Amino acid sequence: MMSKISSVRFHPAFRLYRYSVKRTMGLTVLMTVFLLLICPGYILMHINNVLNPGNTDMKVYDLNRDLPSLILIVTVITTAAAILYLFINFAFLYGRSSSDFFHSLPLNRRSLLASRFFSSIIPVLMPMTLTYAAMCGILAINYIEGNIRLILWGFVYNILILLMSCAFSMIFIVASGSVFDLIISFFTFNIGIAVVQLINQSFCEVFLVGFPHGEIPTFFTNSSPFIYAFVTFAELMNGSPVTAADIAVFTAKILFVTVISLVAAFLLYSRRKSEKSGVSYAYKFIYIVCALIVGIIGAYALGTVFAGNQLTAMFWVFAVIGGALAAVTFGAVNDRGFKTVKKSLVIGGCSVALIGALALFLWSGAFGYSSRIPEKESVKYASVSFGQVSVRFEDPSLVMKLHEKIVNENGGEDYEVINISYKLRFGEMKRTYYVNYKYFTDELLEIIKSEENIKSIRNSFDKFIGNNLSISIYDQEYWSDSVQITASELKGLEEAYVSDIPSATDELLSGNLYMSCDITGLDKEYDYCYYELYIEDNFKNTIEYLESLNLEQRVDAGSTETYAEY
Amino acid sequence: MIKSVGLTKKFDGKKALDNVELEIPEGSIYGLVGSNGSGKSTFLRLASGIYMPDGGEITAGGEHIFNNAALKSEIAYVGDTPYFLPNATIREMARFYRRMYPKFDNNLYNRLIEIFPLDYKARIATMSKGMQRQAALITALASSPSYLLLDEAFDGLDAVMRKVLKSILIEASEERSLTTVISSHNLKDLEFLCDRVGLIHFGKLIFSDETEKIKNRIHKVQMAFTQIPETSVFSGLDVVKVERSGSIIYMIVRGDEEEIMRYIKRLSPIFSECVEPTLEEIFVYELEAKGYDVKNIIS
Repeated sequence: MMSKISSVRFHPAFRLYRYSVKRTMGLTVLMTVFLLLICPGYILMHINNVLNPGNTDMKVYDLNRDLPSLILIVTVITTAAAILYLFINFAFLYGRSSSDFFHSLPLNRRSLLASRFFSSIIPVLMPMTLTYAAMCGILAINYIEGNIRLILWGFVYNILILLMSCAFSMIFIVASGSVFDLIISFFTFNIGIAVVQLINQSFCEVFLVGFPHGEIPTFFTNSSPFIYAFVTFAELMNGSPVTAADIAVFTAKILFVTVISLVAAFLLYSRRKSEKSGVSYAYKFIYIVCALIVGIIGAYALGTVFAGNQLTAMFWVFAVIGGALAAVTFGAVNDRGFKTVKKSLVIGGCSVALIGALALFLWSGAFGYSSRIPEKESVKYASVSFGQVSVRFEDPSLVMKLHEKIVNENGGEDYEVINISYKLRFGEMKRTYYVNYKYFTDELLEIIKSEENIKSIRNSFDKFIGNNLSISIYDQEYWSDSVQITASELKGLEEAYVSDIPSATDELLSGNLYMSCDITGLDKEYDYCYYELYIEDNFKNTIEYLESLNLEQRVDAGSTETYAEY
Repeated sequence: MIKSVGLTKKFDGKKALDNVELEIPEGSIYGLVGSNGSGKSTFLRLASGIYMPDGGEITAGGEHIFNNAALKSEIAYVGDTPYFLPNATIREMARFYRRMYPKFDNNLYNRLIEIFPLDYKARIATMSKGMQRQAALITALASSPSYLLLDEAFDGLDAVMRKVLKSILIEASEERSLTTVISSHNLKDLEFLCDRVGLIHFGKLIFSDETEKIKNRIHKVQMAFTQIPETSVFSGLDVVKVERSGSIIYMIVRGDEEEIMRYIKRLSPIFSECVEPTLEEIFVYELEAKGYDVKNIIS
């Protein structure tokens, strides 16, 4: 029998790589078909539907509207596929005979890890590249517009995120002793750590005056590489202004985590004992970290259920019970029984102690968090928002003056919100204060009357395009129907309103407004947009201008349109 | 040569191998005997570079084995539960071995598939335990290793295949100086195959030597007398064990066969004969002499 022998002798690691790639070839073909169905398949169908002959308004399709979500979907799919391939290719670690077989092959640990790692990633890059090429190809069609740079950046980010996610997953793969424990630890850590950060956030909101509300805190985003990668990626792709520094920081962080994770995975793997196949964990640290996370979640959950959102003695009693129960349950699942209850109880106790330490730290003021105001020299710009006002200052003096007063008056705790944000040379600082505006009238009016705010108001007017404009009035007695106005009428309203701003009084802050006016229309992205004018009694020019528009008569004359028609 | 010096391996703090000192010369067929859990498989995994020693060292040809890719290409290991790639046939496994082992011998592989009557296109996972072991042996042997490590190699093989395997191993040892280490809990499997044997118990190497030397230094003598003599008349011999059945005495004696027979002849027996004891019997006697509870060591 003649046998084929390759004349070129490749390194066994490369040969193992080729075998592994072949093994997952079927999955790769399926993924390629799936990705190409999304892009160009679905996208072309969608564009065709939008640009159908019945839609006479739109002759050109702006692909930029779809690109961020499209790139995000492709990134999620390719990253998930690469992690799945990693799980498949490293499953040999978890069986006694398979572990013996692969570890007896003529390869050192580094080659074995590298061949399996790259055989999980490179097959995903092929369909991924095809999909991005398809996105670029779509742009070649005459009636489709889009930003090719966005696609190319998306491609680069996708590769970075995929690499980082796989490198970070390797730590769990190497540290686990069985597939079950790999899945448990992988999801417990990556989901659990996000929940723990939400718990931290809730504690910060309770203890720290000024802690920003309604935003994803930085420590939450940075808690897990996955969360950081995808949240930041979504922010970078969503069309908001991105600086070169933002891109550099994102890239640097992703590369840093990738390198650190790969080094850690390699060191752990080179010291990993083959006999650890089939046991729960090859390295106990991963078990302890996950058990602590579960304990913290259990403690907080039970404490909150039984004591509401109040950190009373009752909360702590049930937190101890919850922490212990959660840790024991986690231990029982991982150790396949209750042999390690004592150890689990200790870990549960540590979880509660960690929550207690956090509460104590926050209660002590967290190194003066609530009274901290940045040095003026370190501030690049400052933003403030309250009521209808949202304005950015290159010179932060007005914002800092307001901030200082809030800090000195201890916030004047109430229900009205002031958000302050500083963009610093290194990082940013955000605060949210619940105050009574009447204690800060002078400072707030100063901001309202500032040139920056007037510019901000003009920008809000300028975002409306075309003639699909309408306004409605609310003057404490009735809510008018929506009335169509022209662009020149809107411009007139803008000039009148801006001219009244310097005469604003505390009425504008009180909420007891003479009237308000809602403007609705389309922005340049053809998205619905809305702006509300707060109009006080002495805004004579605005009130006169609105009267001059004869809105009531125009309603009667039938120039109204419902939102649905619109 | 495979050499271990102070070789120690621990599992969860418990010693599976304790300070094992062993030398296995090139080209020899070494039988490693011991009961279940004695440490035989652990030794083989250390010798194949699967396990990392916790103490001491193990070398092949003077080089450390663990993480030594070049050396591992000279070592083929067949575990007690052979592993095969998912859904693989024997041909696919051979293709994989051909890629991984630079010295894979296609001619030898072709010869082996003629010797072992297997369906080479069938999935190995669907085969019987014995057939799976044959499949693993074919690919391991065809890799042309310098060191072949077989854990419970005869497990599941029928008598014919045992004989075939033994002759293949002997031939490989003679023709290309293949060093083979075979572990077994059954001494009978190794009786006429191994030129050296070692006994391992609770992680300690109790005994290791050439089979012939072992057999030459202990003898089983049966003799009959018209009048049974006093036991003291045998005081000139290094008697390990004496048993009586009627007028016949069975005696296990250490020493040179000719001297033993000459001594016995002087006592004028009606009949005397020196019988070669089995390897198992020798182990039993030696171990009993060393004070071990033999029933728990050799099954």
